[in-house]
Amino acid sequence: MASGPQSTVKFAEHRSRRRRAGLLLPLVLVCALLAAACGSDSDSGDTADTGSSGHGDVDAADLDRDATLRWAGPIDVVTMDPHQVTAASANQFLYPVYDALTFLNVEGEPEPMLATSWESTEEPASTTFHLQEGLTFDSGTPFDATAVKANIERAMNADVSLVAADLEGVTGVEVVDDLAVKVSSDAPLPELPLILADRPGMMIDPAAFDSPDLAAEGAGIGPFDLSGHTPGSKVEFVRSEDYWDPEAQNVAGITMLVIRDDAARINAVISGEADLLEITGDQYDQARGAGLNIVDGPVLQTERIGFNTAKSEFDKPEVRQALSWAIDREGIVSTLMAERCEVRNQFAPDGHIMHSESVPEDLYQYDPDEAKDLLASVGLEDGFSFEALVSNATAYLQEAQVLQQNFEAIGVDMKLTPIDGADIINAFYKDKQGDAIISGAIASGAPSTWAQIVYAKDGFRNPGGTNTPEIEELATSVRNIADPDELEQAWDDLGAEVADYAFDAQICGRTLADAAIPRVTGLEIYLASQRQLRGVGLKAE
Amino acid sequence: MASHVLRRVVAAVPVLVLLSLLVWLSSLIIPGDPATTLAGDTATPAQIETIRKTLELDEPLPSRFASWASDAVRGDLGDSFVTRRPVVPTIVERIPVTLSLATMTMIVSLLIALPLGTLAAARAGRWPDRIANAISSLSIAVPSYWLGGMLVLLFAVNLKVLPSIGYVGFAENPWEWFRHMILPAVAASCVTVGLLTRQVREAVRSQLGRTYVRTARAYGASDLQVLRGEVAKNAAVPVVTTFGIQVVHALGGAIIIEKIFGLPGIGTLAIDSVVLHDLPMIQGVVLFVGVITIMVNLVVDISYLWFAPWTRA
Repeated sequence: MASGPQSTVKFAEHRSRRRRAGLLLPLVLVCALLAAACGSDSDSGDTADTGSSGHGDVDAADLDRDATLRWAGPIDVVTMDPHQVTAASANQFLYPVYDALTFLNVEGEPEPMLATSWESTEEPASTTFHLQEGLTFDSGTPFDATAVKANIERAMNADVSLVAADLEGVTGVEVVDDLAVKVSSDAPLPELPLILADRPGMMIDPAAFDSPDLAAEGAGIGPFDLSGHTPGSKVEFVRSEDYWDPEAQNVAGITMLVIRDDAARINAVISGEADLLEITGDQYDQARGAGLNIVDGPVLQTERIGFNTAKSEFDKPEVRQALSWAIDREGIVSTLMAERCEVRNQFAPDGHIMHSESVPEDLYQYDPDEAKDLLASVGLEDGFSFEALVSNATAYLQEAQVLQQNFEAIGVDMKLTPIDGADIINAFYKDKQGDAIISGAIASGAPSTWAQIVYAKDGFRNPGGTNTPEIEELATSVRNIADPDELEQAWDDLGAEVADYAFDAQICGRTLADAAIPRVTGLEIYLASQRQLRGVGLKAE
Repeated sequence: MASHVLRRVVAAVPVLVLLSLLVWLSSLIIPGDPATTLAGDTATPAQIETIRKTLELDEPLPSRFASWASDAVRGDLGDSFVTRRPVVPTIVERIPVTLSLATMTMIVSLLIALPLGTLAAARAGRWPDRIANAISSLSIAVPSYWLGGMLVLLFAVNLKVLPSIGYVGFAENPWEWFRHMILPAVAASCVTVGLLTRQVREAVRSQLGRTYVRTARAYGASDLQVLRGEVAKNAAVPVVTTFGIQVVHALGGAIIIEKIFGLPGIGTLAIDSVVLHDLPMIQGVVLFVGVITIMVNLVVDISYLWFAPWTRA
């Protein structure tokens, strides 16, 4: 090698080039990996977002009845005993195995299922259910009035049942004949058919009540049987023999895959290892781009800021109303929720019994001046500050920051305290932390139960324990109003009172969306948020 | 050697006892109420109280600890608050998944790091060394969760040649086990490859400069003979130490990797238990990781006796 300054410079340059070349290789590899990974999405052509995947559009002969439907979801089964299940989200594992006395349709109305019809009396208050004939549990136990009585009484027994509160007001169950059972109550219970569409009405084989296998395997009379459970991985169901409604069994089996991660779930469907999943608002484009069909619709869930009416300045309805006037709902929905949330000023969507026609759609528009006037009317022209608990999920933190800006514009300082989503309900409602809560509100079960929990003075979700005499009267009496017109009026009045009282500042009503491979048919979005796969099928390939 | 091993095992016992106490006490400071979490969003106070009584959360703390400790000594870590199934069998069910991931991760790491680090040491200062240095730097810097996501997008979503999620037992189908494990293992091995490569390089390089190596070469030994002989054994101690640490990390549950790939292993169990306030399961998982750490350290210590007998002193 030549020596001297020039050669040293050349050598340095040579080493520099070699160093750069050495670094280049891994950089090139990374870029290639990125390019391939971000490469062309499958070209789907047009995919429609529809409210239903149209099972009615598909000839039954075109269905592959030997296929197994694979659903990717975030939760695992805990117990197959309906009377021990406390979270409505876990019903997805119960629906394949258990039929109930009634069935909630897409609009949230009860329809016949194991009960073919029912009639009610007011004096004395009772509902008589007429049952399907000729059905038998796998153990050979007949499905009859005796079995129904045993089930309802078990559900009512608070020593063994965590759903006993749903049957509050029921005083007794009587066998009228083999196929008729009368449920008596201390006052008319018009919602009883609706209540019995859920866990209290799911029929368990009485022979299995005390079986140690009930929690692990279930013992129902539904379209499928539980055939396997790999904890943390999957839950498997196979078609039951001799089921009374073959149209509910359009697949040979269902596999519910347990995949906690949102991205992993949608990747599983796109890569062909699952057939459908529930998607979040920010996954719409990815799902469409991958050629998946999307089925969506409104459910009983809203995004809102809830107030503790006994803390900060929230004892004044003018203050609560002012904050509602200060929220830019359209802005939040368009920028944070990809338009997948319907702006509204009340909890229930149009069409649901809890929806009040008396509440104008534009009740609380985005009007900071109106908000300031309201604050000034109660001596808060200089504003005030309060603490809001917010779920520490990214979506809620972003929403909270926008609300912070909205409130800042009217002189109100909202301090945020992020709390884990699993703890926030407990923290705000039980421990009475914070002055307000920014989270979703989800209703399940009977509407009257929701009304009592949220609006009654001693309701668990009324942390301030305040309301008006009208709200208290309506929230506690609506459960027992038998006349349909009177009931509709009561809900309408309650909705109007609640909107005026402003327990919460509603932001928007959520849309639930499922994405599925094009072969999936029969998907529906149920207003009462049930994750039902009844009748869902796969077209033959 | 037997007495050495026995001493190590005996020394581990008080560590385990102290760990158990710390685990139980630390679970008390986890915020949130398990009963409310289990009761769901629309629960009434009466339902929450029923659950609290069922789980014995209304018992005084000393009584709860005494009950737990007396059961733990007998290997019974109680029942999960969520599933009501015993903790120990639940953890044992998850071990094959995490063991599979850890095994594949370490195999992938060794297959890359050993030859790469050795080559880098043997060609120190030249282009193989630079490439190895770049690869090790990159693999340490690249987040494993990012790499995992990229691998899924490339091989599962775009090319559709490998699955994106799930686990198949080795006994059930070895080929499918491998197909399900290879992507998570490559992602999880990211940092380990980098660390091990550097350790191997430094350990081998330090041996190659020794007198005995020059002597061996003088006697006509080839590079390969030199490396495979005394160099490998003498260079093993720091490499095995690093390897042991990485094994503990892998066996403790590659939480993020398990989440990305939907693997029902210890890591996923740990996350679920914390989110659901499943206190007995949290205690069980932490104890399991503690036991694994102690066992792996023990194995590493014992391996020194073979690689480096002078450490017995």
